[in-house]
Amino acid sequence: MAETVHSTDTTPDTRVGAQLAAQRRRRWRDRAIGFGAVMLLIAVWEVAGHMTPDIFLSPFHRTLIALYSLTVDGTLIRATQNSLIVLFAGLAASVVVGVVIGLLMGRYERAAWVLEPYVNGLYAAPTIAFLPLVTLWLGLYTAPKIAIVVLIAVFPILKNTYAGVATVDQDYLEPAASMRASEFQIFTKVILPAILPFVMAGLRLSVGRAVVGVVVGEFFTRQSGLGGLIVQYAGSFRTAEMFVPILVLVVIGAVLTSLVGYMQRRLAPWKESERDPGI
Amino acid sequence: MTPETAATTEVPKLRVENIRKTFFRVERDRVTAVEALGGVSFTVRSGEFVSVIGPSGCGKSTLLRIIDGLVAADEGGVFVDGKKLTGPGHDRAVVFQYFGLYPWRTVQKNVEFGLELQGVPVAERRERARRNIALVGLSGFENHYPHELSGGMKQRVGFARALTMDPDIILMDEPFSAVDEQTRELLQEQLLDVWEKMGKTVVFITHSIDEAVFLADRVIVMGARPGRIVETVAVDLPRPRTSAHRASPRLLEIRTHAWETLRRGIIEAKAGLEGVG
Repeated sequence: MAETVHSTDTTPDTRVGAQLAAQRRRRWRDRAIGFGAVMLLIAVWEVAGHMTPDIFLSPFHRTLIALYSLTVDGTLIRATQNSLIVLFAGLAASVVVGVVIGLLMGRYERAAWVLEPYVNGLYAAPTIAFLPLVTLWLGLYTAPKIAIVVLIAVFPILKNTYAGVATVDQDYLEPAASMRASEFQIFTKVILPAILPFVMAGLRLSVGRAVVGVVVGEFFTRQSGLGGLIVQYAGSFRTAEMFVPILVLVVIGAVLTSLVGYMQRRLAPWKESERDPGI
Repeated sequence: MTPETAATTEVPKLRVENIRKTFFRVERDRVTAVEALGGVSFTVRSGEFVSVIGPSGCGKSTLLRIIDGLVAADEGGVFVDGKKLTGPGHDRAVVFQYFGLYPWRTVQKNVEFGLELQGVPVAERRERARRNIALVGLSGFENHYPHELSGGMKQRVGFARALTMDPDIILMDEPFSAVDEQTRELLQEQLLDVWEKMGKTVVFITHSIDEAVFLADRVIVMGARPGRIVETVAVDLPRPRTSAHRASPRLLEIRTHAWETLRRGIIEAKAGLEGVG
């Protein structure tokens, strides 16, 4: 970063311009390669779909047609809404639970001693094993689905927050102590802003896991949403339709992940510049 | 070290009395004790500029933190205006070696931080911060973030923050050691300029003899193992000082004397260490 700034005011504009243009070209080339890879998959899918029975794989264009008709008759919209409600509620709860527990564990050694066995145990355990219990306690509708999402998605946020608090520099705490910040002020004005990039990095990992949680919940409690559609179409061997909710889930996961990545860069621009010289 | 003769009737602004501090390092079942400060005493008059130099490991940074109240002494006391201190307070502010700025806050917000913690109304703290940002020559950079500034500029922000707290005593912990040589000289001159205007009491920790002598009214020379005062050297150069004084024969004379004192401290510490080992 610093290097770039220096060269801007010491070298002629044309050379800087050429550098920027070259960088832009490289970025477009990388994107084109990624796009090409997706196109290739779709082409293979289309061809393979023609060569195999429809039950196993139907051509891509039929999935596109199904996408259109399911959108028009409202099925897909309703299912997506249901899934997104569970996804967002679960992610929101994961952020709250993960940040609070992570903060406690990072700041107070005793809290860490008490909570660590539970956190590590739950993290290591196969979450699906808890599903019958969650159903027993919370029923079959939205609540158990959100609970499953939290159980799966909370850990990256929690662990990142914990690690973040533990690494909050003495360099941040000492000036605050010198200026007589209260414990509450240290939390709100030093630790929280300092760990925000860590929380966002955790959230980015959590998004993908949360999508898994949504589908698991929709498969095994009362079937609903996009997961429910997958089970329903798979059960009736409507393979072309079955791929529609899968594609929507992929898009939701990918879009949300890059959205969080974008927010991450916007909220902590200083992290970018700290990382820059190293790479 | 004998305490300075308290012939003057005025109560010193800052009095450090027989400070002792030992750190323990525990490695498995072995405990090593490191005596960081072995009884340090000195006083600073109101408005005086005192530098503290010493080899690394002489406990000068620990001493500064004890004066600020960030670290508790094992023995002894720190007195401001004759009152014994119990912790950090608004009568003292620190300028840290590592700047101590918050990367998520703009220059303006960093400088306001201390006042924000005290609950000073927004309009007032904005005004006070702006005044001190101007004083250190950073007007126009209020909305920049620290990562957009050079090391010298960052330390000016740190200094402006300390000034904004309006303390009686400013404690500076090797504030210019992380900036390049030319910038350092400019910062030193700017510091003196501001100090002349504001009349604050300054305790300035450094490992540079030149810096210590050029800035201070008195230079406290410390030795290591345990950290202690070897000698206090008076700097009888006229004020205000400018870069012209850097090459004056008197300054070089004082510098040579301070350097010999420092050397003596280091040699004694080495001899002591070999005696133990």
